[in-house]
Formats: sequence, structure tokens, C-alpha cells
Amino acid sequence: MACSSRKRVSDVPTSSGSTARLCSGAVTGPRRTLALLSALVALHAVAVVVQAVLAGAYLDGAGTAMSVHGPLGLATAVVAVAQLIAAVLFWRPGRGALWPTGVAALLLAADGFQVAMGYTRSLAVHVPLGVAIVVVSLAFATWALHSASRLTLPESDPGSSPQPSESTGASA
Amino acid sequence: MKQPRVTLWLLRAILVVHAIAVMAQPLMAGFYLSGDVDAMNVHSPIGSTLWMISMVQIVIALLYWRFGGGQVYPVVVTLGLFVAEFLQMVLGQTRSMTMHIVLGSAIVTTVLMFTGWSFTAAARVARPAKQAEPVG
Repeated sequence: MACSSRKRVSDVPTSSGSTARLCSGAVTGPRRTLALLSALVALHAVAVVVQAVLAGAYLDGAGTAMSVHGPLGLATAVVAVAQLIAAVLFWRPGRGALWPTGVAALLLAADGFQVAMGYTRSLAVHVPLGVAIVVVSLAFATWALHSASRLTLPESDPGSSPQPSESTGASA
Repeated sequence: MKQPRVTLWLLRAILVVHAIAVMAQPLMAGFYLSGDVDAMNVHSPIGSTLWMISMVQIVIALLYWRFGGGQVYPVVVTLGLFVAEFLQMVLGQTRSMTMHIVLGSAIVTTVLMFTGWSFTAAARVARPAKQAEPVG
């Protein structure tokens, strides 16, 4: 079965031990690794949004907000490490795209630098970098959760429901 | 099926202007908080202008939708941005920093993702031809 050019092809293991070639815009190879990556990307996005709330609360006069903002910043960087590991697993052995590893590496570097800029009170860097981290994290989470939702609901993509066929077919 | 071309380029142009303006805001806020009080003389005027940029963008999004044959989503998103940016200006003037920072981050995120989207193939896709509306 030929796939149209815009659809991705992936070989996924079936329960019978053979591989099935899925021709769909919805279902691609990585499943468990994408679920793990999505969970961590979502957690990271929630953490950075909470950081923005805490920074605002501090500027509004809630001094205690800073006693949470600092440690949570460190925790966010730790989540970024886990996110990077999940992104690598998504690539190999998950056979997913490589670019999420790049984004996760960038976020880890940004988070680490952001914590340093926060503790040294370099707000001219800390504030815009914080916004940039929020933007990238939310865009990354949008992609991850969108991909994950298409994995669990492949039939929501009309006209391209997954049609497994043996990879030993003519196209293989 | 008609695909947006000229109106899409107009939409991209206003989005790039919009994106540059919103990215300047956290930069200026950061300078201000680090002691450069003059930065507020840039942050405030830009903030008071953003919702006007959204007004122009609404007109362009309507043209993109009706005359360009594009999707309706840019109209909806720009309406949301218009409301958010007006509210953001008020929150800034009243020094409601918690809401101001969260809403500001949301505005920057939305404008940048919107701008990125406008340069993808999805923005060139014509809206589906009008069909009988499904009941319910």
C-alpha cells in the first residue's frame, strides 16, 4: 500500500512478532517513549508557568513566593534533565525524531543558566530568558501532547485510519 | 479551491511586527527590574500600542478569511489577543504583577506560535468548501 507523500510511514512491532507498516499521519513508531516524553514535557511546562506566577506574586509583595521560586527553579532544571533523557529514548530506541532531543538539550541549558541568573539577581537576563523558556516549553508541550493524542486516537484523523499491512509487501 | 496569498503575506507581515513588539516587552521589563528605570519609557508605550496592532491584525485576519479563502482561526486568536493585550495594559498600569506576568507570558507565547504557524504550509491551506451543516 502506497502512502501519500505527506503521510509518514513507520514499522511497528505487532503482537504476532512481525512488523506492520502503518501508513498514516496519526500513528508513528514511538508509543511508550512518546508517552514518557509527553508526561515530562507537560510537567516542565507546568513548572515554568508556576515560576511565572511566583515571580509575579513576589513583585506584588508576597515575599514568601521567592522561597518557593528559587528551589522550584532548581527542580525545574532537574525535570529538564529527565526530559532530555526521555527525548533521547524517544529517538533511540523509540525511533522517533531527533529534534526533540535538541529542544530538550536547549531547555536544559537555558534552565541551568536561568537558575544562575536568578541567584545572581541578573534580572535583565532572567526576565526575558524566563519568558523565552515559557514560550519554548509551551510550544514543545503543544507538540508533544498533540502527537500523543493522535497516537491514542488514530481514528480522529479522517481518511487515513491506520491500515496495518505486512512489511513484506511490494513496497517494502 | 482558492488559497490565501496576498492576505497571508499581509498577515505574516503584521504578525512579525507584533512578535517583535511583544518580545521587546519582557526585555524592557527585565532592564527596568535590574535598575534601568528609563526602560519603562519604552515598555509603557509599546504596551499601549499592542492592542492597536491587534486591531489592525483583526482586519487583516478577516480579509485572510473572507477574501483570501483562508481559515477562520486567525480571526478568533487575534480577537483573544486584542482582549488579552488591553487587559494586560490595565494590569500593568494598576501594578497587578502576578496577573501581568502570567498574562504577558501567555501573550508572548501565543503571538510567537501564531507567527511561526503563519509561515507553515498549514497557513496556506484553504478552508473547506461550504457544505451542509451537520445537525447537532
